[in-house]
Amino acid sequence: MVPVKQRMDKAMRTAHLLRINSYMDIAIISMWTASPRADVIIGMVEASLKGKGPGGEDEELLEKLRDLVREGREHHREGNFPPAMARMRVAHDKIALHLIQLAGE
Amino acid sequence: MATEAEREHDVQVLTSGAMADVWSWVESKIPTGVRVFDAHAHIGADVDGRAMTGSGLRARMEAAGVERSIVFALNDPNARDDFSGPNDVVWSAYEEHPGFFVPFFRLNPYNDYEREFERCVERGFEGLKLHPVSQKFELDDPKVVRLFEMAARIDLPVLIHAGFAMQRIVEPLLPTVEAHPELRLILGHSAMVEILEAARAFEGHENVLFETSVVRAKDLYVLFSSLDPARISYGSDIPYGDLPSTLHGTLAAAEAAGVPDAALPGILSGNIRRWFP
Repeated sequence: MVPVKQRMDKAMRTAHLLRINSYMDIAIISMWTASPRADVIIGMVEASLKGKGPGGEDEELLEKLRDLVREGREHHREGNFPPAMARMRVAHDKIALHLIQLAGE
Repeated sequence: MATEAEREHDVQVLTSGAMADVWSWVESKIPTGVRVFDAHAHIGADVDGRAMTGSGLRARMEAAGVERSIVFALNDPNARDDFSGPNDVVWSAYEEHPGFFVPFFRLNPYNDYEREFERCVERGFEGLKLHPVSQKFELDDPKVVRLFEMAARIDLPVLIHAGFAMQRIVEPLLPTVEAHPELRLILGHSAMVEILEAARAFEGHENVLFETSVVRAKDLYVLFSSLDPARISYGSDIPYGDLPSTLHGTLAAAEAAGVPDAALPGILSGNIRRWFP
């Protein structure tokens, strides 16, 4: 067992990013289907983005995702779907391509 | 329906805040001189409440530097039997905004489509849009196959929805493509659930184009890694998609997959312009 604060290898980074990616999947589907729970599911994405990622190497990406998701949630709460979905789509694409790049390193 | 002021607001909020550097990156990736061609956009109203006007779409295109868009009706609540009303809305937008739109007409294969097909072709529509999910049909239904044959006979391009909620794409479509290699077919949303299978099946069929609207970047990564980029065309799916985020997804996936910059003019414009110069 590696202490939680010390593990920062690619597998741990990938696991952390996959978690966030999964919540984004759910959030985007809930937005498409106009689920009454969409707002709280976007909130789950925000929660999954809290704190530094393992080792901090993905921090630039995570900071960008936090901004996109926060603004996306604000627009969604205002009923402004296109800018909300645009931000969630970009966030989702960024994390997916980052994971692919990580797998290929 | 959104007012003109609201439409301008929409365009601005898509490229500001956290989207500002995303949009700057997109602009930096579009090669100088490339006139972007959006191969998938809608005009009209949908049963799900979404809507887009010709002037609203044009405003978005101009704000994002998009020169032309293929346009067709949504799943209009006023479609009645033959889609003639929604097709007329598309035609009016085409006439009101010369040079901006390439008009496609839409049909329901389960209804009497002969007269509307003939009317739209005579009028000058440049393609046919079919939506298997909204109109609840399979791509190998004999009525649909007959429509493909009618289109092939007069060299009319067909764009099919091959995206969200599709469960059968390659297997029912391949016999038609093999029987009519001259049929010009655009796979809307790149057959996303079967994207790798579709790339393999249609690789040798030069008249099948893959269109990228609202396809997630991870799906597009697989497509760009598997297929000649000359067979891939950018689309937005407005009003379900938007220009900044769909351009970002297409360009970011292409870059990640190692698509050379020399192929970008084709993906963003040239590949679809071969059919609509």
